[in-house]
Amino acid sequence: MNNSNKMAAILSNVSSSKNLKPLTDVRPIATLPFDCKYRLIDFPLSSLSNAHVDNIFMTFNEGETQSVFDHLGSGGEWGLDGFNSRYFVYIQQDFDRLKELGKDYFAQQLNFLRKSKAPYTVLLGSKFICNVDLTAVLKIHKLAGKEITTVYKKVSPDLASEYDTILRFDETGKMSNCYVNQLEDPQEREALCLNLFIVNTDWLINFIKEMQDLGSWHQSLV
Amino acid sequence: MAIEMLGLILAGGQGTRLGKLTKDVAKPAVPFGGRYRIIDFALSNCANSNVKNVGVITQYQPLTLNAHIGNGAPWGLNGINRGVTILQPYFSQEGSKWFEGTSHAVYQNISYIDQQNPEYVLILSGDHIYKMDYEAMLESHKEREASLTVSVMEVPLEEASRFGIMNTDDNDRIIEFEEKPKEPKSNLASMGIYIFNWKRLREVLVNGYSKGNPMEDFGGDVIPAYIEAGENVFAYRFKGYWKDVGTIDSLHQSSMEFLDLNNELNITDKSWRIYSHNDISAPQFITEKSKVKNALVGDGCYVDGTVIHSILSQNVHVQEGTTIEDSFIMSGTFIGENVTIKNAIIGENAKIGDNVEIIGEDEVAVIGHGEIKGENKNEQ
Repeated sequence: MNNSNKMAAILSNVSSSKNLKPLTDVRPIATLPFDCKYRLIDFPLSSLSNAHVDNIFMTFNEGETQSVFDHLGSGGEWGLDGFNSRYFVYIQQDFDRLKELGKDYFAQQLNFLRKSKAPYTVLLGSKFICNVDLTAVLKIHKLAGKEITTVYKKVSPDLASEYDTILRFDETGKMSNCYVNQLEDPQEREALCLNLFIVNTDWLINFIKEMQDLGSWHQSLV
Repeated sequence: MAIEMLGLILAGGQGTRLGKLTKDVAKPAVPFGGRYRIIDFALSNCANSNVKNVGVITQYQPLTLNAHIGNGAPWGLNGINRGVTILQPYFSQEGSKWFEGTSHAVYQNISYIDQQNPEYVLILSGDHIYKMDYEAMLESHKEREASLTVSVMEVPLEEASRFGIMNTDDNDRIIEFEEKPKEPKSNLASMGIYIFNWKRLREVLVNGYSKGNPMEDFGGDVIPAYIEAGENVFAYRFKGYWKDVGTIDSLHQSSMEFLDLNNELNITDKSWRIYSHNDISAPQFITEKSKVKNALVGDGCYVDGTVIHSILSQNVHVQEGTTIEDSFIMSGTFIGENVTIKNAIIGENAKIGDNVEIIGEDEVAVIGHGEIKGENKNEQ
């Protein structure tokens, strides 16, 4: 089997928002109902499914997974219940506990990435509702030949929330980034990072290992 | 591993009286009620009655039916110790195994049934709309130590000559079976639903064929042979909604009955759900200009016209100025502007152009699956 275009994915569902209370009292934003028959997580899962991504590592917060399993079931609706097609669920608080104990707190992520045998990994969240053609993004990623490709959308910064990331580019094409609430001279339209990345898996594995060795865990990709 | 009761759904019927609607699909695969196919009722009854092993015997145009049933997951029939198996006719060294009749179809599938090794077999027809608890019927079968239990319902005596009629004694033991009698002695009509002790039925079928006494039909051959041999044959009385949607008229009529949420079928009853294959379409959209009254509108529909007392199945597109009344529109159909559809059934994926009139006057008007009528200016 030719795996040269294969992508695995890490789907993060740990961010929460006070602004959505009480709707998110017992569930992650990911399983909030949307548009009659969907839940927010259906959008990233469908973007992945449409790009034939069939190995997904999902992170959730402790105590927020009941509605997730209720909704996902076998994962069959997104083609995740087949031979070699799987989803994994990881509880973010395990990470904190391992870190406190001084253990290898990225062990499971590294294990997943190695076993996926996918040269590329999609990193994404479930907060933004968007349908992204990930096979097209992968083409661009391969064309550019860099380690990381991210996807942004030009929007009015008023539409974004304070901790969303805005990307800026200077004349040479060099990119910088900041949170929305750090913008000093907000423009009419800013490049809102959709929290969606395609990275080279080998590079990501090294990146994570280095962070673990340094005892670090939170580092922005952009 | 032995199982208690195996369900066998006879789904090979052509349903010739449904005309265009069964040109390319078997009758059990004909759409019903906006999101179902007829066989969903038998399959869901199995699922709800704890019948977890089901064989679906197909013959005529099985493609749509096979695709619809798949691995049986919508009915919870996939998994360990359960399953749904599509049984198609095949050739063997003894020759062709095409089915000549209802019990012949079972005889031809003896090796499958032996493999399942059931104590009882439940014979069902795949073309009726009803909800029934087969587990309760099995209880009654066991209580009366029956060899065969036939599910019956009371029909008006003047209509009884259209059915297979069971004449019973005071204990509901069947003493005589008459197929479409001119002068019916009772009003207990067979519903084509049987529970047999498999061991005995197997003997009767094998002996019949080996002794040149073919057992082709349950109604015509097997049941009379059972009664004659003095077997314990009992009637099991069913009360409730039951419809054979074998004609255009009955399909249209039961579709219109389906629109009445108080009807006896009670499709919204959560304790006896009817399951079906789900295509996952986007939510329906009803525009500002549209007028929709007394209608069932499926997922993925777009309605810009007027829909009154009708069923729109999934992904039906209705453009401006169009009126649909007292009709059943099957899925994927495109209906252009200023169309009038009244008292009609429109098949799946049909295309109705602008300004077309489809009006059933004395009888229901029918457009076949994929049929094209007229032209649509927006769709070039």
